[in-house]
Amino acid sequence: MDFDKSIIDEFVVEAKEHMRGVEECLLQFESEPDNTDLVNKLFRAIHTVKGTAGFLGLRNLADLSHVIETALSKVRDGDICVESSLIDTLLKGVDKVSVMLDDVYQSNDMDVANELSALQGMIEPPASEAPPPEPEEPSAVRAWLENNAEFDLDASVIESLPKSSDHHYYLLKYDFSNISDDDGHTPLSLISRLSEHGDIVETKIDPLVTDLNEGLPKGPFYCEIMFASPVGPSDIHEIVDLPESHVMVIGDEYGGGGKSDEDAGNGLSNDSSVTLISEVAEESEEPTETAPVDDPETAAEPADGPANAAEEGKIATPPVDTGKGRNDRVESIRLNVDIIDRLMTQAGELVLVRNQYIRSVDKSNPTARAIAQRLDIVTSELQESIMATRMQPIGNIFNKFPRVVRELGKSLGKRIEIDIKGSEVELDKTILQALADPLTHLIRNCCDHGIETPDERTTAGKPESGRITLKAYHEGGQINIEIRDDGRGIDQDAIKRKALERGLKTESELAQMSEKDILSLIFLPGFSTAKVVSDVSGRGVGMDVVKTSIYDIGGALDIESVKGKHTTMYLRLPLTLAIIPCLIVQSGGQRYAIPQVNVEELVCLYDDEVRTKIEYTSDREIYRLRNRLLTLVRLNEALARPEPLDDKTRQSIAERYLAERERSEEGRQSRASLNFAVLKVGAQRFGLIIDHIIGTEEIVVKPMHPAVKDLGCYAGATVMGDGKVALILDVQGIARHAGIATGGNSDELEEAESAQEVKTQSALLFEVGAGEQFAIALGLLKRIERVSMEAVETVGEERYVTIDGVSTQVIHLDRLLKVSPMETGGRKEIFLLLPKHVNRPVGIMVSRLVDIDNVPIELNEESYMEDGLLGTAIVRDRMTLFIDMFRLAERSETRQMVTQKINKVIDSDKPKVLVVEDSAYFRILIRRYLRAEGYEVITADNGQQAMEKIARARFDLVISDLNMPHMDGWAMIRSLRSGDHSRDLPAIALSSMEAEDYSESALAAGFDAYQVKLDRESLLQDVAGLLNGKQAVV
Amino acid sequence: MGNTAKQKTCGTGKIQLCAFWLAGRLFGVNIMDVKEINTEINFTAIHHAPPQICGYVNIRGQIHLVVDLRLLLGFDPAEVSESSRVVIFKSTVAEPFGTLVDKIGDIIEVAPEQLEDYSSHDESSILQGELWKSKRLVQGVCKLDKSLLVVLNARSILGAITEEANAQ
Repeated sequence: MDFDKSIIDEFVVEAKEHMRGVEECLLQFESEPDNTDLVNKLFRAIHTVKGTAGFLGLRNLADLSHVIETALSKVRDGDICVESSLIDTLLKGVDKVSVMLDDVYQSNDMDVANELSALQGMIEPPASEAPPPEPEEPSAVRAWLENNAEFDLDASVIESLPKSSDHHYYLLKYDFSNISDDDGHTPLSLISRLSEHGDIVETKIDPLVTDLNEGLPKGPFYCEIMFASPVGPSDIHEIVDLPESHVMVIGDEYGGGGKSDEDAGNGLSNDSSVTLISEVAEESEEPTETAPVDDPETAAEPADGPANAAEEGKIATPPVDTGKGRNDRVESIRLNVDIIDRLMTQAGELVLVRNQYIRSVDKSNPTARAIAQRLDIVTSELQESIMATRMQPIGNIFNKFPRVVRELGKSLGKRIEIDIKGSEVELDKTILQALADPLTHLIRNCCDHGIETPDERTTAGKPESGRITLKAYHEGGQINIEIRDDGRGIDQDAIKRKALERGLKTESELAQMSEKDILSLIFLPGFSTAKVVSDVSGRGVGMDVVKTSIYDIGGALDIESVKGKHTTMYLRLPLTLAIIPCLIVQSGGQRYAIPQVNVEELVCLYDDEVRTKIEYTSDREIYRLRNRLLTLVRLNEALARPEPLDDKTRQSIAERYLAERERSEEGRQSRASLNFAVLKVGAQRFGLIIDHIIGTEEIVVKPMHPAVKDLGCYAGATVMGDGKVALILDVQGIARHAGIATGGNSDELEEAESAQEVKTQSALLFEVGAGEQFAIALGLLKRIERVSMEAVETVGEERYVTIDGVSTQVIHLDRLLKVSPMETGGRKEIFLLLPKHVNRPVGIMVSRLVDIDNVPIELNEESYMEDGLLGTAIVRDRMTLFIDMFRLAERSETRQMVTQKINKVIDSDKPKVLVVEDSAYFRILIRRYLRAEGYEVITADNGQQAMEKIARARFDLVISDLNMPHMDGWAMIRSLRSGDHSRDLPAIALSSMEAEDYSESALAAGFDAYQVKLDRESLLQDVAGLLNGKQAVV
Repeated sequence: MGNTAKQKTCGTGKIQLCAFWLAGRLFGVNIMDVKEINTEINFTAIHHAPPQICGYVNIRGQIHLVVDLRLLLGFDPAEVSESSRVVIFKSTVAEPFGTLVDKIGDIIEVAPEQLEDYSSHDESSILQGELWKSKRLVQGVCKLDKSLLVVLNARSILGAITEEANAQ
């Protein structure tokens, strides 16, 4: 029975793979009925399923796929035309096949009459049609085929057979009880082997066996296969791997007519035109050494004589590839996931060994070092490759949606098109599996709730057919999926009404909620806005299930909707669950990993701040982070208590730390620092206090041991570089354990923040002297370094510090600007701000870091200005000077060079530069840089504006961002290059993407240069270069 | 005894046991269940886990859970020492895990008939006076020349922890 089952299971797996392709092809076929490749592909797939099913005695499956095949062959010959109804029927048939495959052991008991008759109805040609032209070839074969009682062949199948002039027909008789895994053969491998060399026309099981449900019979178990192949009878043994007595040639070209051996009891039909191949072998000149039953491997082993060996060698050479049915095969094997998991573990172990080896290797020995390096590279590559085996294209689930949408559209009376992008994006297998259901639900929602009926759409002035766009793409180490429909959108009032009805929210609560909050109400359990509960969606299980399942795989779900226009769902998913970037922290002497997706930022409080910045409520420690109240959780306390923290415990913890603080205040002995990570779970945020932050690392996630898997605080475990195990924290579990209320007021503050987002920019606020507050945009900073005053060396008038082995010039703001002198307040340590994109290492010396805050982008350039400043703004009620890092770096160089630069372009005619940039901050910054160089600068917010300006005035150069609203940089450059006006205008693309291919495609699109935001020197160089080049040409 | 059938016997029909010491007493597990004896005793503590769980340990890339048998059997806890070892069980026993023992002993061969059913001795005989927290762990008792060997069933160890956690 085991034998039986494993073969059938293997068949099911393979057949399912075929069927997946079939459905896709059918749908594609509907829109491209002339695509013969498609029909052939379909035909082949169904054919294989039919062949194997017949082989295994799965009668219903074989019958049904047989009719489907017939229908397809008629389509191929143009006997039936492709209509929606035909595709429907075919799809139904294919569905039934899939259903039977799902429950293959019961498939013979299933009722397929409906599908069969529907398909038969399609196949039957309309009455009184001229009979198809009789093929010219003769035909013993045909006659045999048509008159053969054993194989009840459909006329259309015979029609579709290859011509016997270039094909030979065989009747093969296999004994299944003899085929076993031991010699590497299974019925499946045989079938695939046969299909490579020809067509399996029909299969038939020994009539003695009718019911496979009883298990396979004990004795010989014959299966006959009618096989058509271009391979001649002399070579057929190499392919079919059968003793002579079990191969028959059909047709009389070779047999010389009507002889056949009586082989009593073997169930072969004794037709006049069947010839045993043994005779053929006798008659042919060269004697063919056939290798019956033995597999070719044994035959190929060195034999007695050299001549004999040559003969054997010939047999062992692989049969000639006929090229048939091979082209579509992708090189692939099926692997058990366990093996891959084991490989992963072993690769992880190898990484550890490598780490240990590299640490111990003698660095002074060049040979050893080179080997260590290679080991390092190979190990990393190996790990990557193994990871890649787990990745699968998201197309695997996307591909079923055209069908879903088509069917739903029909049943709902709507016209819906679906547009799929990014099918090639790859995701971890486990994530992919978990994603299938939620995605289907969302698509169904789009069809059911989103898209309107054609009438409604016409009235609303939209095209009759609705459009669903499904898009997947990589961004920031995550996979993003967008599902957008251009339907009626979500009615916020309806949601509100519903929420009131269900008692989920009160009226006053609703009044205070933002639009986004109201939209997200649909994620609450038991919420459905569909007026009528249809069988499509709205069955009580709703968006909450979708949201939970997305959350479970570490993803996030957002919704955006404009009533009457569209609804868009945004899904963000991790690439893989197996390796995730984590923040490694230490608490209570042990390391823990926190998934990076949960980490928003890290905060360190020093000295006095520890005492002054943390506030206490009755049971909580709270930190005010940029006007947001952040509850703090102490990891060591939370982990020390197995029971969830209740109010009382929290209170006692808070009291203890408050008392400790008071003690330290009295004793003036302050703890050096306090670290916490700001973590987010959904919309909720809290601070997790830990002892130390160690760093970030990519870790391999291992599940928790079953005996401890119920502990909510852990998401898994991992082996660190030193071989020790570290636990991965489940941030949500910690929050739950610590008893932090979900939701709450933090959202409102956040909402207010995001509203300002457009006009603000986060900047670092700092002080140098006592007087002024300075600011610099965070985006321009590489990092902040703590330096001890002792490490600062003086060289002539300048001062230097060694950072990362590079001597870095220290910029003193008080020396370059008219500001109050530097005050270190007696501290031994100062901070150095290291900027990005400067051509020479410099650092700005700072005495105190104030905070990071959102600052206005529009700066006041009139009230107070100095060379080296961008402007001023009021931040936290203080006038704040915004420094120009590049200008300062430049000014700290020798004075001569600076003056030269300034004089450079001033005397010539001012070139006119158009800066296209949607971010106001960068617009202003670039404008400043260009003006400083003496260019005339005009700005535009987006491509559309830019095109208008170009049409009106003459420019010498365009600098454009790539990602912009309305018209992006790509569209702009294309329309610029294809238009008549200013076609040759030089253009520089400016983007925050540093990727190579990005720059290539920008150049391909028509830009003359590509710049990363924002390297001032390099940008100015390109500007000057392009302007000069242009002058030369004119 | 459900597992006797699975216990592989050596040539003479005897069972080989891997013996170890816990709180001065000799215990043994069927050697066919044991994968290896490891010296790695630096565990990663798992907070919130039952007290009988020492923590995680990495053995050649695979994370193993380590159980403190002393606590599970109801003895007083003890510091890990030089002689402490971890007995790692095969993956056929359960998901990767091992037990911390005070000291490893010899391999002891016993004939199946030497193995006395523990339940028959219930209140009265050889183990009298011992406080056994998890009696179901004990597969049998065996009288050796000098001492008494208590044979534990490795397959029940993880279950015993869960059982106890539920009981509390």
